[in-house]
Amino acid sequence: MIIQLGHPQVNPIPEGKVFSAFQDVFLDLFKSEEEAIYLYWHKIPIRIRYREDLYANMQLFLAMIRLIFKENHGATKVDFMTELLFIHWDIYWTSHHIRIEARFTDTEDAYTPYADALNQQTTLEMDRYAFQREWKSLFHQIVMAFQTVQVNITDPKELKKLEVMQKIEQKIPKFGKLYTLDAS
Amino acid sequence: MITSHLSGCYLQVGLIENIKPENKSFASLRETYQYLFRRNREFALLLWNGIPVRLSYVWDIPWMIEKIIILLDKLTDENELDTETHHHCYFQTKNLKFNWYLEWNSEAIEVDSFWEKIPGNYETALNSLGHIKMMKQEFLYEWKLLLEQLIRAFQDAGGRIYESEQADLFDMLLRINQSIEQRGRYYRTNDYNS
Repeated sequence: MIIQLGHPQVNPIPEGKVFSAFQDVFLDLFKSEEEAIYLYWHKIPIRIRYREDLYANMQLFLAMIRLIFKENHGATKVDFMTELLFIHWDIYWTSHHIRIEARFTDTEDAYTPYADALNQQTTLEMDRYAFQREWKSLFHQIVMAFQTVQVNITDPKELKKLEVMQKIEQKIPKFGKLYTLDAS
Repeated sequence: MITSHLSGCYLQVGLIENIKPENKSFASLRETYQYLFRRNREFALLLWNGIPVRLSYVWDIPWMIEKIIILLDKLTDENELDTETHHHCYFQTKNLKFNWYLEWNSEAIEVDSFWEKIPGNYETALNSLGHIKMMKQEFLYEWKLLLEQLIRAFQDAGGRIYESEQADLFDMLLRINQSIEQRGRYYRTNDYNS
């Protein structure tokens, strides 16, 4: 699994604007008509939009990576959604290894064959650190975007989510495959 | 039927990496861009009726450029507007094989596509949504940023193309880029500089 970032324009946030919830920031920060993130699942690209999809899913991604980062072995599940797909992941990991059992369901009948193709390869196995590095690239980009426009989140519990994202991102030493210079 | 804003063909480009002035000579456009894009890691994404297809700058785009130029030339050449209104492209690269049958008038373009080979083997999904129809101008806009990337990379690297037919294609590329007024839907207000 590889994550390719987009290079979206970051909207300026009006001075004095405060956010009560972490996720709301994505709706103001990014446009709809914009480059997207692509997650390659066994080479099949899955489009994740900065505005709508990160608004809906970023907290899930954050909780998932936080757990996989913190616990040396474990299991969890995550259900997230893109414009074309409902995605269910059962995730199992040990210190060096991660395995995902996935199920993809279309959001519209027209995309059933696309979901079927993804369901041809439901198991994905990779190095646990390599998996974390793919998400570091995205978390880093988001933390930078929040900092650039000086997002003000008032609720301490919500602000904590940003701090957690930043802390995890800093602790994962390297970026994902498309964003590190060593040829691997 | 699919949600209307997903219908059509849209392009997200990848980041071009590390073009240095080298002043090399190349026989063809394919050879030029195989060399110039050899370090590229991000892919371009073609969104076809909402389904993304990844295009490698190393293994796919250099093999597609000549055909894209010829297609866009037909679509933008005002002298041919009344005469030629259809065209067939067969794209064959290291990773991909697909056919586009295009038909257009001054306003709209329709493409029937047949996908034979795609990394990840989801040809059936693309073939089930094989037809697109969009405004001709809008279709042209989608290619502009890629053309700008091709021109910029070539100019930044210096060098030349010594086969005259291929050098003519590069001139054609410059002309086409001039004639397309704006970038695609994801790049309308961006200051995209790389």
